[in-house]
Amino acid sequence: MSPATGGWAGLDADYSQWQRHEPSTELHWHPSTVAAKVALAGVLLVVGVLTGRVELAGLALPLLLTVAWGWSRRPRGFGSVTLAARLSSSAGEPGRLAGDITWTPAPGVEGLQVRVSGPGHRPARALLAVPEPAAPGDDPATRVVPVSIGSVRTGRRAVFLLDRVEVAPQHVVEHTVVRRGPVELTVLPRARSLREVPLPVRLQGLTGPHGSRRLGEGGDLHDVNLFGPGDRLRRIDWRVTTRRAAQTARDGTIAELYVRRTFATADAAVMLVLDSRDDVGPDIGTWDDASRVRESEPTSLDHARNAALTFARRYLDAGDRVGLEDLGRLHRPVAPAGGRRQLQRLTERIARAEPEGEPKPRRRVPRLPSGALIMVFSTFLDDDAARFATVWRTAGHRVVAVDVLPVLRTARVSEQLEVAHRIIAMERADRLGDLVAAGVELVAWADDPRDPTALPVSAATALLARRRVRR
Amino acid sequence: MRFWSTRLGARVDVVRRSLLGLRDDLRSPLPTVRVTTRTAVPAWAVRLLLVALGVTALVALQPGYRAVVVLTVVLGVLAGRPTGGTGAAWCLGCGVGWLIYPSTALGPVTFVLLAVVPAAYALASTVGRVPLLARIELAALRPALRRYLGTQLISQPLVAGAVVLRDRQLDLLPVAVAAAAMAAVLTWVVLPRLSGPDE
Repeated sequence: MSPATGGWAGLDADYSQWQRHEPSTELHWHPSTVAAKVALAGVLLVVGVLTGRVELAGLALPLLLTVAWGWSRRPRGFGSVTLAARLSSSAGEPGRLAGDITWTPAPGVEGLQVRVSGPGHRPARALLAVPEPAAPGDDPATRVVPVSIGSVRTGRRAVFLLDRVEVAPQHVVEHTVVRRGPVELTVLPRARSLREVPLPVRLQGLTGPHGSRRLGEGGDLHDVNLFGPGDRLRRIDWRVTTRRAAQTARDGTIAELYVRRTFATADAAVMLVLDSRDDVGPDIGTWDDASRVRESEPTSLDHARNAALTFARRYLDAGDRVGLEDLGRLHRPVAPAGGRRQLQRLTERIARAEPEGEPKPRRRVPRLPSGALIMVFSTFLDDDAARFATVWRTAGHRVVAVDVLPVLRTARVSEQLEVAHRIIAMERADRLGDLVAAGVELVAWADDPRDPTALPVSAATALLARRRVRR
Repeated sequence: MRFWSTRLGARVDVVRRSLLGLRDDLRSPLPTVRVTTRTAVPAWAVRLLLVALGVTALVALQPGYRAVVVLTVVLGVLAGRPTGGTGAAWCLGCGVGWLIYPSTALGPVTFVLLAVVPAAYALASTVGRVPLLARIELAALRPALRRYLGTQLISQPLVAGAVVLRDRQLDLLPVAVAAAAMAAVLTWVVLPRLSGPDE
């Protein structure tokens, strides 16, 4: 039974089959069981009168009175019910997606029956009371009912499907169930804080937050040397100049000028390579159906988004330049740049990265700015990301491979699935070993509580930051 | 190992994994969408109240065992599917039972039955088709409560007066007509004032 034909029992609350429904344009009130109620009460009344048993008439009287009153006060129009998601999560409750049901009832309506569904959640049903107007005679008040679900997932989500029915007095009239939603919401990834992060082999430019080996402005003292072509007049060190003049000339005439030369500063160019071609959860039994992944469990793409945003924010806050390449899409990459605007741009692109149909094979390795540090966020379940990382390393880039595969649960799976997983795991382990052998540095994003030797991400990146890498 | 690779073993394995999955769902069920309501009660509690009202009516009625069986079935239908129609059927059933097993006129049983039987109807017609696990705001029951109290204020005195007049062997027809007119006027005047701000 579809929502259009009415009835709660036939509504399909399976999240994977949600479809956007347009508001019904043929909504109307129709009588329910008024005739049956009146008939039954009438029989009771007649029996009571004929048998002289006024008590029976007393049983029928309340039925007839309330039905008559309910019919005379029945609603003629429909109220307004809207469903909207809030842009930010509930205050004080991180990890919850919130929305609001805004209801302005029509005159005569006594309640609103709602069913709110969310992905990975059981639907909640409630009978809501009519809001009281500010004063008798005023227009019906508007009521806002907050709804929320718990979720650690990121990206574009379809949340909150609302089915509602307005309730007339005594249910003398009814209308078909109206469906609203699903409401689409883009959940931004969450960034951790990292103290130390690796830098590329070669820093670029003459300005930035890092020291450089070149001569220039803004860095530490290099030396004090004779004034030469290209030196600025304001760099003249008059103290050294006069001291040298006093030492070399009897009359103290200044014949040579000495300048203070400093090292230049430089910035790092970082390219984040996000592999959005697959999105797998920690339960390998759900790898064939992404809708079965629980909302409380982040998938590989959630880890990749969070990791990419973490590093983007860390480098941009330090004054470096960050760009983005999405392996799942054949779009132009975001060129490295700095500043808050770049952070907003990257945050939006990272949040919107998602698998699109079958992944298109890439034959050519994406070309990235020379000298950039390349960070690859991937599950490495196939060869493409590993092949690209190896080529970039061979070209002289410093490459950090961030493994975003969640900690897997292999219990409660069939024997065939377990064998398939073992084969994939062995191939992946070989792939990662080849990466490390090629000089690519490996960091695991998901913390594995079962592995006591696993380093947390902050410690792993600090180790990388202190390691010198040569081309 | 060889058993699980056979056809029978594969089917047994499917059943085993389904049961294990069911056990996992029971251990860690899916969370429910959170809807912030005002003071609310679960719908199953309201149905328990319906059952309590029905049992009270049966105890007050004290019908024979056959009538108890029939009325219990009707009560079961009412509790399982509370609607205005099943509520009216419950009233009819109690009325027939009262007809067969009369009580003392103007006794406490009369007023109890006149109170609890329409109460069950009012509750059933208000919470009709609300699922068991739903939450019902108490404020949503207020209009129905006001209507119920209003009809009780009308029907109880009317019945008491009619019984007194009947016992004095007066002609009830003009009294019935006058009572019906008075009931209609009272309904038109009193009930809207009890129902709240929808005028």
